Amino acid sequence: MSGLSVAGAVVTYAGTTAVADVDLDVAVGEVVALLGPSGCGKSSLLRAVAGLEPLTAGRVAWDGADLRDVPVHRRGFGLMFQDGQLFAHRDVAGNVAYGLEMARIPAAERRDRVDELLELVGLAGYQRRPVATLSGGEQQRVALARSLAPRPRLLLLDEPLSALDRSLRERLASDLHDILRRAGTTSLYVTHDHDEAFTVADRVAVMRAGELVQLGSPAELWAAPADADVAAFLGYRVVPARDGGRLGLGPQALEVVGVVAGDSVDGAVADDAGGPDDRAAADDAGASAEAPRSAGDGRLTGRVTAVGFSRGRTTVTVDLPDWGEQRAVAAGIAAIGAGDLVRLRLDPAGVVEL
Amino acid sequence: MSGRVKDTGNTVGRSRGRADTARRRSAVAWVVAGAIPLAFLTVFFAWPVATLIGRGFTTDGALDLSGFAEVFARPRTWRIIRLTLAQALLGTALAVLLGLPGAYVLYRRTFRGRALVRAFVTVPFVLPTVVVGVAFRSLLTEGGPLGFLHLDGTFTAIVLALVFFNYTVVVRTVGGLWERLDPRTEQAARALGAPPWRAFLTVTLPALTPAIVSAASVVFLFCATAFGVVMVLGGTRYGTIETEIWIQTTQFLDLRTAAVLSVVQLVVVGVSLALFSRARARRERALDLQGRPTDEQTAQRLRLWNRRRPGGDLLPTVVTSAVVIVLLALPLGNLLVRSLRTPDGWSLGNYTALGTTGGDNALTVTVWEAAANSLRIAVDATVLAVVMGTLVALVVSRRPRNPLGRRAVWWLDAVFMLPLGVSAVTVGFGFLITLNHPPLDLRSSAVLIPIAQAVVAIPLVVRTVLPVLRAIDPHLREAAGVLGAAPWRVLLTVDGPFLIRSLGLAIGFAFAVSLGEFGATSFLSRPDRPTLPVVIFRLIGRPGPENYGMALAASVVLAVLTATIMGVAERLRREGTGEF
Repeated sequence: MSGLSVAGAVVTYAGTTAVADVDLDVAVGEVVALLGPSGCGKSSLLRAVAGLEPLTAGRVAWDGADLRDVPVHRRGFGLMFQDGQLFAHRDVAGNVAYGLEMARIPAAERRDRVDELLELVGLAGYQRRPVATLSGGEQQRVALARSLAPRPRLLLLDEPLSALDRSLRERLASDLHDILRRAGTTSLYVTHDHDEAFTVADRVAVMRAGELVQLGSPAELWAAPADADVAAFLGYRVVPARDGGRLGLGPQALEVVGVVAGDSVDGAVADDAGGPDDRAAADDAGASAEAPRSAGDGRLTGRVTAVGFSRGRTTVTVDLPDWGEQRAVAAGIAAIGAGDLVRLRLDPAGVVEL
Repeated sequence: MSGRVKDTGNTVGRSRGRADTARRRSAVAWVVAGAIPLAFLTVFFAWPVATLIGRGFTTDGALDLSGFAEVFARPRTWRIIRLTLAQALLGTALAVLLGLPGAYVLYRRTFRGRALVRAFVTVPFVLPTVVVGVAFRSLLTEGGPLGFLHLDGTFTAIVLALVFFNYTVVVRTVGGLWERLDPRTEQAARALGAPPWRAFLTVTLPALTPAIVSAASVVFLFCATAFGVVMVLGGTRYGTIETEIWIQTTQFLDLRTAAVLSVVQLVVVGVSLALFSRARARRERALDLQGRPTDEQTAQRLRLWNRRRPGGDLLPTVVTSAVVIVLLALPLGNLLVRSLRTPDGWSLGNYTALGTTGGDNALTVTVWEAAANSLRIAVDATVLAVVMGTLVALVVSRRPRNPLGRRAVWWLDAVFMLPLGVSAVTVGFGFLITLNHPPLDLRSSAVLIPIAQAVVAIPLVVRTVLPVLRAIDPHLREAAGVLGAAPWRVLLTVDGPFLIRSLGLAIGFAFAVSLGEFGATSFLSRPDRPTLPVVIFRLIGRPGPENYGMALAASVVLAVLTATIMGVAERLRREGTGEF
């Protein structure tokens, strides 16, 4: 078995179990994300792999060799924290070079490697800058360069982007994806943000209450969440299905196809939105307009309670008879307001059965 | 329409006028608040000290530097300066070296009884210097438990007593910062391949440096101006500039030499203070970078053994245990035990003797009367010090908008640190030569000693209250203002609660300082109204086991008194209050 292998890992703090019997393998070159809400034990597992937390039971091995008696600094793993933990008394180059100094790399070689890494993280020329003058995103880039410099066998990232604001987080997540691939670094990535996990990782391990609930590629996870909780955590809205089971509505599952104005649907809007489906929906609405209802064929009617604007699109909150308030996309529909009765379409591709 | 516009303009104009008035009024209030303590400090500190310095530089009103040449020509002067620096440097180095493991064990690790050990470690710092001297002497004297070391009356004994005294300063100052350091920075270094000791040297130690420098400067200051300890332990062979000033004044009546020595000491102290304030500035800057890690992250359980091998905690724990048991507990325990021994065996005889004036009438009053004196004086001194110190802290914690105000605040802060550095003996001596004739003749007044003690205690009060006030988020005051609170109500409702929390500790400090104050008091106390430390010092100077036994018992009484007061004050303290 090459790469990281965690078997039956248990971590306890003063009587409470943070990690309960987790098995996880990470192949060389692979990026695996540990995804879960705060307090689910993902960080404890990461710290146990790093050697910062003792295992109560189970084992952590690299290339088949048990790491139990290997102290933190001999594991050859890199570690990156949420808030960088840069050494305030060293400049950027001094921070990046730290691990190389510990590995007794000659100064000239060290300089080259520092330059190379700063180039890689997009901070070329920052060598002599004091770390206190850097922005949050730049600090995290330096922390990443520092972790990568000694070429760790495994890079452990503990919520590295959580302290940043959203746009920066999204940009850095995709940068991270590229940088890790280019450096070919095996990585274990802890996050509570599913978008981030899906952007960065090859495989995602969902954790809950100390246990590993589901493991798979982002596409697999998205297509078939293990249960309602996982679905909810991934961003599905869980609603009751007609057959007594439950459905997970993806963020784009509901789309407004037309406004029901009195007895008729706003034709222009329906035309704009286009498609024979909509036409049929409009006809259907004309038949019995007033009461909001869910239709058996995936078409729904509901009352708009709020209109918002998010990421360049109009979104509405619609009160649906069985499902309560749900958000729906209202692409291309200009005149829509709270109190309007709207007709919605359920996109089967955005829905999972649970 | 135009009417409305005009109306609005008027309203704006009027309210601007009102705001200006309010701002002016509040500025005036702050200036007055700063002026009161400043006036106090000018009359009772600057004037006496300046007069004293003047004595060194002038003869009959003319500038005359021959006093300096004369004093520096004496080998005795150089010996005293050398001794002062040597014991201060050695004491500081040892205190830091032993204090670092102490800070680690007591602030970075948890174990059963930690709170108790932390409290115990604080005791020596608040003990009166005379008591510390007596405790070490009874330990090291011929026939004492450590008499076989023959350290009584040696340089080593003085240094050890200084370390005993200042160990707490290092542990608390460094521990306070260490407690807040994010352990993940060190973990990052470990993950980058640094073994524990290298991670400590390259990451933790640089982060702690400001606190270490700051603690070292304070300790150096205390050691360089040590008086009571040296007076009791040094005998005639060892002295510091401080004791020499006292000897020159009271034994040889050579005021000029004493004045010159005071100037020398001011220079030594001035340099240390400059270092201190620079270190403090760096410390505050360094702390800006830190987030606030949780207790869970910073305080891990003490683990001596790691998988049956000696763990990283073993060495610091052994060092700290040795210091706490041998250096701290042994002298205090021994003092207590010995105070219960009389020539006729174990008894409370020494304590009952406190109701007498000692063997051969060594004293003019009974020890209990002296204790009552001490308490009365301490109450007065505490009121003075706390009122003045709080005013200073309030003013200095403001952040005025205009540069002039900011500079004024900075100066006020610096000026009120001065009494911390200027030796108490110098203050007492200064009082003696300035306040004994018009315009201010307080020679026979009962307020002289409380005032002198308050001057010594004010810096401690400021340093206790100020960090708490400075820690108040300015947004809190702004929020209160926006919600409609007038400036005085902001002060009352926002600063007030924080102030009251720190005040308990400030009162305790001031009281303890006053009770144990010996330097200035030894100059100013009148024979018919001595304080407890003065009485103790007189008792150990007199022959006879009876007087010595009384000195031990009186020391225990004084120690218990101060420790109790500090204990109560400590209970009122909140996490991270104050600098000491």
